[in-house]
Amino acid sequence: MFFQNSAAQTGSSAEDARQIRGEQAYKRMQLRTLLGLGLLASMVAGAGAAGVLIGTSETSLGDLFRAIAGEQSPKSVILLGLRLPRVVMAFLVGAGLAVGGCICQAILKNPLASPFTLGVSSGAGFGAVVGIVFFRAVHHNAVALSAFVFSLVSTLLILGVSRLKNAGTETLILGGVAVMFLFSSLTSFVQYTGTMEEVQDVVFWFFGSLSKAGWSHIWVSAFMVLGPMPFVYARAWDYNALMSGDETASTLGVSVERLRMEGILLSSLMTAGAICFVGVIGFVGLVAPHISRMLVGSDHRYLLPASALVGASLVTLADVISRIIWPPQVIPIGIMTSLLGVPFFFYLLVKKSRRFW
Amino acid sequence: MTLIVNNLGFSYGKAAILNGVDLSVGGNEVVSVIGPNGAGKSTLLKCILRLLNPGRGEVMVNGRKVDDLSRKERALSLAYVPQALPSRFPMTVFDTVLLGRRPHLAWRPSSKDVEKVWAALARMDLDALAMRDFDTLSGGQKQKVMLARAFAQEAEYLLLDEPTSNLDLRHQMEVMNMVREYAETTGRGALVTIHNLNTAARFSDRIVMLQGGKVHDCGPPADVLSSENIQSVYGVVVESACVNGSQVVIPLRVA
Repeated sequence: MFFQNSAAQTGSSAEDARQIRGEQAYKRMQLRTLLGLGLLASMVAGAGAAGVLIGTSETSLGDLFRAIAGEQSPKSVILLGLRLPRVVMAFLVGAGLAVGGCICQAILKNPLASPFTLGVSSGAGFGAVVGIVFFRAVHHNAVALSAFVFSLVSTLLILGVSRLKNAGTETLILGGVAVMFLFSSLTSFVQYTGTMEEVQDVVFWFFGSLSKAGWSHIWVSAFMVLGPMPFVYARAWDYNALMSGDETASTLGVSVERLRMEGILLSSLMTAGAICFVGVIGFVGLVAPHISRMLVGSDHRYLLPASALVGASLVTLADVISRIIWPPQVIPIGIMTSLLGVPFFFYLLVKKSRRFW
Repeated sequence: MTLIVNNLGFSYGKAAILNGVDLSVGGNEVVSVIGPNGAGKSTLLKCILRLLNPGRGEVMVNGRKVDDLSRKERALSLAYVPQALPSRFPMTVFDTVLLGRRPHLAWRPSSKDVEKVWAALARMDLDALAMRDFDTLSGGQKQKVMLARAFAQEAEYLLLDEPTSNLDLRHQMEVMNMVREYAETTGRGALVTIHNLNTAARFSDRIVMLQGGKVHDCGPPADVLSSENIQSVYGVVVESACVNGSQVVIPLRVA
């Protein structure tokens, strides 16, 4: 047999020894990857604890335990009523954007892709503006709903275009650019027709903010961010195969076009779920997958959960920083993630280490 | 066990690329496809793999139409190494070869899968590079990794698109030796497009000579690589002779 050749042929156990060494190397690599994931999980826990405990009014771990035990006090309200939902929302937003970005980078085979590359955020932005200017009087959740609906409209536009051109990566990226321009000009137009007050609200929506996150919003976001995750994770091998090129992936049994369509839909759903209540939070979807790649490598079986963990900790930490950097002001989180993300992005760009993309 | 291509035709719009190609590849057999640029060699492989949809004709794998096979069955029947090397996110050599096991595994690679990958890597003398990033390898090493990936796939037929075109002499020999040995020891078949006529002659059981999307000639190297054939297909005057049991072609001048 071709594969059991050598030991038999050479009559030595040197080949066997090589093989065993190899298998041990593989085990070591897996162990390292799992350790990386463990590290990230503890980072999320740490960021979560910091998010709950750190803020303008001082609280201690003891206060947190007492609050969990059911003590009624102003500190309990701050910890469980204000900060905890904020942290949970930050987890969801970070995980949704990061996994969405990871999918986009895989299906577009482009390290600079993020969930916003396909125009999802522009669609959501337009939806939010429409909501603020026309529908806010109707219902307090109208803005989020409108943002969600229009982010899906932008996705459907992209899907429609790519359907006509066999879902090539260039078509998708250029289509995304076109959709982005379309929606930003429409956004400007609606803003132009709005009142001063409405325009101000629009601007604030684009800054992104976790302040308004309540439990009712969290359930909806959780459903949209966590719901697609099992489907995404089930495709990890297919995303891996796509790394070796469309044609090779196809001969390995992957339905490339379907994988791409499905990826667009799932990542848009997760992204829309993440941003419809909190506004545009930039750079997380772009940098979280890259940080994860440095830690666990490019195997999507590990990269997808790692991205979720990195994204969750990034947004939570950015939120903590935005609360303590200029008290009692709370800098909008979208500004914070961009401020923190841009230097990192430049670092990646300048270092241009092929190791990471 | 045979791969049969029957009257295959393909065109981009009105330009016919393939025009009724017939060929067959058996077990233990290495068949080379030669022909000038644009003769349809790569298109032929892509049509067999259904990466392109041929307008007419059919491809039978061991008595079954390739269209009737599921994606997984197809992946277990036909392994492919494209001409262009992938350029993408960093991936270790090991992970790249492990992709070849995808049609075999459910989720977690079994110890058998890992074993096969290491065996393929060791066979190609790549095991020392296994944990290196694929992008840091030389062209010859990359080609060997892609081949190891196709070997690890354990499909019944290997379809290789110009596996030697960017390689130095030694890597050309190594790669083709491996293909030859793979076919002989596993009883599987290989269909290889190739530019170098001497390499084709040295390693093939049969050669299919394409011109303008049609089979110009087909048979053992000594018959196909006649100076008349080469002059009419390539427009080059050559001397063709048998040296050490292998046909050798020496180009003299453009006809």
